[in-house]
Amino acid sequence: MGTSDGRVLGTTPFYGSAPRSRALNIVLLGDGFRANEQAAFDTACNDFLTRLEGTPPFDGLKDTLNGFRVNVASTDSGADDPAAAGGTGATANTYFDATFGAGGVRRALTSNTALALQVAAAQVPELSVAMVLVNSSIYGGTGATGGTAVRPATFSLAPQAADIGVHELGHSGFGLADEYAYLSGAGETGQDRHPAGEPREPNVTTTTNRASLKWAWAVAAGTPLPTMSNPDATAATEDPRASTVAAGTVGLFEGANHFHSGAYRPTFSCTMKVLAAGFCPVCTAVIKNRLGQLQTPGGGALRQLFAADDSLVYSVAGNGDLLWYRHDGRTDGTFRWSADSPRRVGVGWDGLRHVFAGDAGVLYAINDAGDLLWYRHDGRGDGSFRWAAGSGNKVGTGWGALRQVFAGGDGVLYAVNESGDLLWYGHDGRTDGSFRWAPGSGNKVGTGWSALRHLFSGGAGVLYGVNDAAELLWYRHEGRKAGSFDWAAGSGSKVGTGWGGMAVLTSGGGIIYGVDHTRDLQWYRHDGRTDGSFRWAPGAPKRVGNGWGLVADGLIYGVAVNGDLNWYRHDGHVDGSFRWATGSPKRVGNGWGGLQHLVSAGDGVLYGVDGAGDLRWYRHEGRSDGTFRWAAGSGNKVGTGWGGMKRLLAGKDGILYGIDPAGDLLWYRHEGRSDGTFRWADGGPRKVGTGWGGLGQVVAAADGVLYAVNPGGDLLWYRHDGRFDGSFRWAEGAPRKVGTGWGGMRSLVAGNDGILYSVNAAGDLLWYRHDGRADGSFRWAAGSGAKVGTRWDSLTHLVSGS
Amino acid sequence: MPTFTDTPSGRTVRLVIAVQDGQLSLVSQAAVQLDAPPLDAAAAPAPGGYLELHDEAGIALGRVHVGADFDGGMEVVPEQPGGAPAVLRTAGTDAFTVVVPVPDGAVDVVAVQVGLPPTDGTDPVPGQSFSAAPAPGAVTEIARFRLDQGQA
Repeated sequence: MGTSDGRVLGTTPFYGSAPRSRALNIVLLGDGFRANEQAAFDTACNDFLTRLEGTPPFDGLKDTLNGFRVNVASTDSGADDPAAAGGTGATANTYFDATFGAGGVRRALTSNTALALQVAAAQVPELSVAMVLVNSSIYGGTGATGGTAVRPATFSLAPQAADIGVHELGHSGFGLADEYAYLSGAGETGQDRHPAGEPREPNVTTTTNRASLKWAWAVAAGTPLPTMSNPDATAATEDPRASTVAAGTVGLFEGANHFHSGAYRPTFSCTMKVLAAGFCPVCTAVIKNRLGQLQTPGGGALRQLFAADDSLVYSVAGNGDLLWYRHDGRTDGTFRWSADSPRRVGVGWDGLRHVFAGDAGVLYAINDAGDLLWYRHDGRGDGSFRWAAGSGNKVGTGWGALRQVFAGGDGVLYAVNESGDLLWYGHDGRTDGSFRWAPGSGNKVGTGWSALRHLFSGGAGVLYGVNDAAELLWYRHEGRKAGSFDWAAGSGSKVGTGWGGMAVLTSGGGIIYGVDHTRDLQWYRHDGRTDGSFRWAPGAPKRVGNGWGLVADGLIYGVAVNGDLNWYRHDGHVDGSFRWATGSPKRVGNGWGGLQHLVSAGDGVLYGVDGAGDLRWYRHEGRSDGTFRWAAGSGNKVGTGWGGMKRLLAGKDGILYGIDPAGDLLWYRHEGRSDGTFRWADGGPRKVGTGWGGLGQVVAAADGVLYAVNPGGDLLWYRHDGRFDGSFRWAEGAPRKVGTGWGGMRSLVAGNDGILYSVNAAGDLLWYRHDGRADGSFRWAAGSGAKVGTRWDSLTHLVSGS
Repeated sequence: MPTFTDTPSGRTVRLVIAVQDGQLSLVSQAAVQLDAPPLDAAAAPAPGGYLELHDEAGIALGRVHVGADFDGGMEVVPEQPGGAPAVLRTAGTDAFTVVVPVPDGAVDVVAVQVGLPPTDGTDPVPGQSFSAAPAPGAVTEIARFRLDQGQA
């Protein structure tokens, strides 16, 4: 019996991609699965995590969960089922010695938890929770009685046996107490009255004092305390009654922590009392607070995400860490990642505007000055912290003004300029980071590419673009070696649909990864990549990751009349559907009522002008999930004398515009935008426009685009091509009329990708997507004008957070 | 700007402890890079089971709560799925793991049981809040293990 009855096959991270040091690491171990039954264990693991991710509040915290399965081959299948406890008498030689019938109770399924912990800790040293899944369809399971140490649960594959696993998470993961009012059940003694002293757990109490109650914040003023008391004066039994108050009422319900009286729980029912009842608001808050701390700055969202050509994926986390992942299931789209993914391989990458992968470990980055920087990750094979000498070298300048920059393999870089031209570059210094470029670098090899929303390379000259209709278009650049204007027949072919709203990254060989609003990482393989045909790998897309959320789009902040700053996330921002993040709105600040102006500059940065005319800087770290977390230094004064501005606008990259009383448009660039310091670009402000005083609503969108409503109610489009240096250069033809009837709008908000929101006279929030945003043409997405909210007229400031 | 200097995290160790018939044994200890909650340094801890870290002189440098006791009770799934579980007091087997930050000078890990504070025999008064500094309960040493200095 025991370790002689099987062997550990290995460990697979099958769910989540959070850094292990900042995640709830759930380790599942199999017992009673023979070598040829491992697929059943794999399925059970997936089922458990799927169930957990659908259980509030974990559904909103998926990016903090990691799942690891430890495959163990046992000699026999199943578990012991002693006849003495009413079982079949079956015996099974298994690695963790799983057996039913502990204490004579058949459903008490136990295992050698000491061995399970030893194996789990050896396989995943950062484990938060360990569970043993037993290969039996007989209903059974056990867990710990509480405490903050990690004690493994053991449960079978029977439906609902896994309920105890979720309950155990409450103990091991979050230090929650049992809320049921007995120990062993009927006829027990010694559990009448809870001993004196306040339990340490956050969800049980012995006090009935409203003011000092642990969960006073959740109790309505009109709720009596205690809310329900045990009517049995002797407390010999627990209170047998049904709830006397409305479901979900938070108060004090007598009977908790294994005692019939003298201890109270927050609600009548909760998963910590009745399995699968759902966590009560108090336990939910405990879980959210704990996991919220684990989330990386930026709300767990990633700032950037890109793939390299050798199964590697990199991300820049919210705290600026560069993380390395290796997708071992890259070729077939299975959910297999190297056991040590992710690994931190760099820090401080949040100061870079755009990072992307070249080939052979080369990474490129564009900094705020528009310099192109070169790096080579020599530790890419194993995710170690090793970089080539010269990493960080400047290998180019003036790249900041380009719209999209990406690598095409073999040292080729492509970029789209303001005119929509596709430019070709060959970096001859790619192996050593030197400033050497192939002749012809900068050649124009295409035109009209600004119409494509996302542009990326599939390797070997293949380029993909997503147009405004969300179609995926295929191109093959035959002139990639010399930078000539030669393209394969069929270039521009449609090879996919429904690619809008997706962050896309590729790793060559036809492999494409996409992340949509669900934060799942989807795998695709374009089998028609060589000829541009509409052929894809069977089964694509396949989900190969979760929690890969990029810093969220669809964010809106509004200041309520009481000065609270409310957070909203419009999950339907891509298509204008009426879908909002769970819990929207969430209060993420207070005291914002006295601001003269409030604008959003992206990456969670907000600027406000206070009553004294000072410009204040804020960065909302909890922007992805609406938590009340702000960067250090939020509220810093970064400017003075801004009170005289008629309007304040914020573009990206620290660019601010002010419209002064004379109607001049003034340009500023805040160099200290990432940390809230008082640093500004030299030479500011610069006058970049005149006659802006007579306009109504004016907002700044991405890529230098400004929208304004003139007195006639027309929506005007502008593109400031001189936005990087504050020069007086505007797109040809600007302004252009791109809409009519916008005069009655109370507010106008600009998000990413041409998305605009307006609040009409009735207070409805309307959604639009300007598909002609790149060139100022009069083209709008179907559904523009859709109502996606009501009663938005009560907010005093409204800004996009994207 | 990116840098290439890794930053070492705190000094923490993972302990795996088994309980068999009331006897504790240290199954494994290993250094781990993980943020561990700070040790509880209260002079009068609440009742429960703790692991304490002691220095060479036997002074407790801090402790971490690991559960109500070391008796090895278990929670069993309800008779009917979806119902309430119950606790089964059985053979006294248990196992748990905990990650502890290791203060300078710590040499021993000591399992202790802190009992209920002495009472005057009266029941708590409804509505009464508890003192922030309750009388200490009796502390009973259950087991002692040497901390592997090389690992920690």
